[in-house]
Amino acid sequence: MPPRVLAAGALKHLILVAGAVLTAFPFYWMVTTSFKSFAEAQSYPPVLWPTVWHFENWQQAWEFPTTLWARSFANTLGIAAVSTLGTLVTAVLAAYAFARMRFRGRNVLFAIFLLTIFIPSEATLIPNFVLITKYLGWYNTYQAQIVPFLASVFSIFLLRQFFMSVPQELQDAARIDGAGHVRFLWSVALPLVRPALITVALLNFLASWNSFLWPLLVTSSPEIRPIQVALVPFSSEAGTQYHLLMAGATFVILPTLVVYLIAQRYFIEGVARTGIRG
Amino acid sequence: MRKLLALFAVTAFLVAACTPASPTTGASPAPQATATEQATDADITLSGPVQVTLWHNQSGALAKGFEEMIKEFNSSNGKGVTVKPEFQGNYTQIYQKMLGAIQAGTVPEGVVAVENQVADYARAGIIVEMDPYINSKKNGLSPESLKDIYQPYIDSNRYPQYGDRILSFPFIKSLEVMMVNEDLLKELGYSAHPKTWAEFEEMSRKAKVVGADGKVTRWGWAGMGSEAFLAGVLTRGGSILKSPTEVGFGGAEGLEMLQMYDRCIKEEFCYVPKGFDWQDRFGEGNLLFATGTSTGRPFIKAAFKKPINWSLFGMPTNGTAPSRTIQFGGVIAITRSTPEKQLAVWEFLKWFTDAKQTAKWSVLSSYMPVRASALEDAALKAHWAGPDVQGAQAFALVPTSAAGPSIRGWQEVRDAIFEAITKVQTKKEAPDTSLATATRKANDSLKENQ
Repeated sequence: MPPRVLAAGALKHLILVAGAVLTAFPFYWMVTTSFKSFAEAQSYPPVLWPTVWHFENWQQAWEFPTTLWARSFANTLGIAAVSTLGTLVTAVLAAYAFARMRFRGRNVLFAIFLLTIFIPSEATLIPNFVLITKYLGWYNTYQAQIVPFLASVFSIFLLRQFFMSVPQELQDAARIDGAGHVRFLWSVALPLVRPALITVALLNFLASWNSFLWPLLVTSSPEIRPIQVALVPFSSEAGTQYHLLMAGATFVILPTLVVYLIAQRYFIEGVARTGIRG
Repeated sequence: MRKLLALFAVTAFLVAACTPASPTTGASPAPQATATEQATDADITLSGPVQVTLWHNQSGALAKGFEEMIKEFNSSNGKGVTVKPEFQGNYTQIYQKMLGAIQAGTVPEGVVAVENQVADYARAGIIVEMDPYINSKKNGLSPESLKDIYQPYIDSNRYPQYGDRILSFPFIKSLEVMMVNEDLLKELGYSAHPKTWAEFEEMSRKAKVVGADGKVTRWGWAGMGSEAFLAGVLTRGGSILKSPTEVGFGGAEGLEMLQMYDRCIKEEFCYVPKGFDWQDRFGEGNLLFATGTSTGRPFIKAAFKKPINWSLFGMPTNGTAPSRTIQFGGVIAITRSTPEKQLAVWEFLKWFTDAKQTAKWSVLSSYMPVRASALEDAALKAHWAGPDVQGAQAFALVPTSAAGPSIRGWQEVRDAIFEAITKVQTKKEAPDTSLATATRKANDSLKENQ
């Protein structure tokens, strides 16, 4: 191999390794800090490796007063699973309609859908709170944490792009065989867009898993609150227990890391095919 | 964050605009004497079980202690009152939730807040005036009991934009205090705390140590926040407010504070914190002075790498003005509901702030007790004589403390001060320019919130 090609390859790998280190560093920092002492966790210059490993931090974080970890995990899992499933259903149907069906005002309607992405969530926070609590009476319920997230414009947009890439010939052939829209969607289109479905599922699962402000606003009991809210007590106005907070954050992030590692192939494929960047 | 806060400010304004003004919170002063002369909602008798919800910000071990105290109240009050505590995050998160709840009509009967937030809620007409409750012959506080509560604590719950009426009650109180590493002070050859800012600056400068690599490894001071700045203004003879629409820190006193900070930064004897990391510098023994909340005592101790002899003391002065500091912290406001529920919250507040409970809560939480007589509590005495001597030192500063004004728009004023400090700290602006900008912004905010 010519030296120039070798050098270019080495440089490419160097850049990629640097990117990987940069991405992985926060995780490294979180996990190692979870084993540091209180003082070491906020020392400057930062300590990269715990001088003494405080394994008891994990137990202390798990047993932190008023934090119901097991319950919060179960809540989050349930909320994330239902809202992900719901989003998949609504997004698939809407995206298919926008991509493969002809009807009057389709593009205008889709443009209106897209415009809603640009409304900052802060602007809709209070109106949504009023709607959920005053008009629907769902304050402190699971449905308040699930229903508002059963439809996602971004997921519709993502899936629409995939459905549009399904060759028209396939639909024509299916139609000749007597398949209507539902049959074509179920038997032909969905299997073809599986990577996109997994991407949408993962993105929504992660969004739901990481949801903090909305659940805090619409709930009042720790028994129905999700995992991110369980991290709040580690900080107070006088200080933050970073070592315990990092231990708690590690608990919180582990399941999503496992899900990501299992589904990463599809996730990368789905993102790459739509040209979306993080 | 600024965008978010601005949005909340606009929302608060809209809430206010859309809600009819309450007769109890109108802008014109009401004759307070009548409250005690005729029967009011505060004079009723609780006859049946009453449950009230309290949105609070206590988390972790403090929440556990707080909830245990509430359980004790629920089982012992003898009036059928049950308080249901609900943790709703920090002050900002509670405020966000309250803005939504005001519109939805789902506010709790009691809410923890900071004073300027209460002033916002009051504009929406949902806050109950507490003077009738405090003065009620039947359910109120005796004159002796009222006198036992430190006057600055009561004063901070009077709202000038609502006729100086009391719209909230002290809940968790803290002070801006000066902390000193006594061992280091002695090592530097000083035998007493600095009395003046000039002495303070000289001592801080002397504490600086530069390592072989040219980097500073020991500093004189850390913690120039909004409260420390205001305390500095007061102790230089200035004032926080000149009038309801004009701040008092825009003059020579404020400038002197910022100039001192500017020198401190440029000469590198100040440690610039990235968060609470100054606690670690203090705990390492590499910081002579630090200004911060008195409630941070447990965090300071947890950061010690070796035993350090340390103290809290009053702010230095210009040599003629008295030493004063700023007090702050959460209050509890009662929202408009039924007379029974309103009284139920008041009964809880009365109980929670009596000498026994406030002392107990102080030991548990490191917050300051609200009553002078709490000092007679055996458990608190033992705690402050032993493991938490600094608690007693902070408490000694309460009588001469002052609160930030309980007015709408005060948060924006604090933000303006903070911005000015940051600009000096990052050497982006000279002290006079940054102070002028902060003063203009602060005055604009006060005018807009009239």
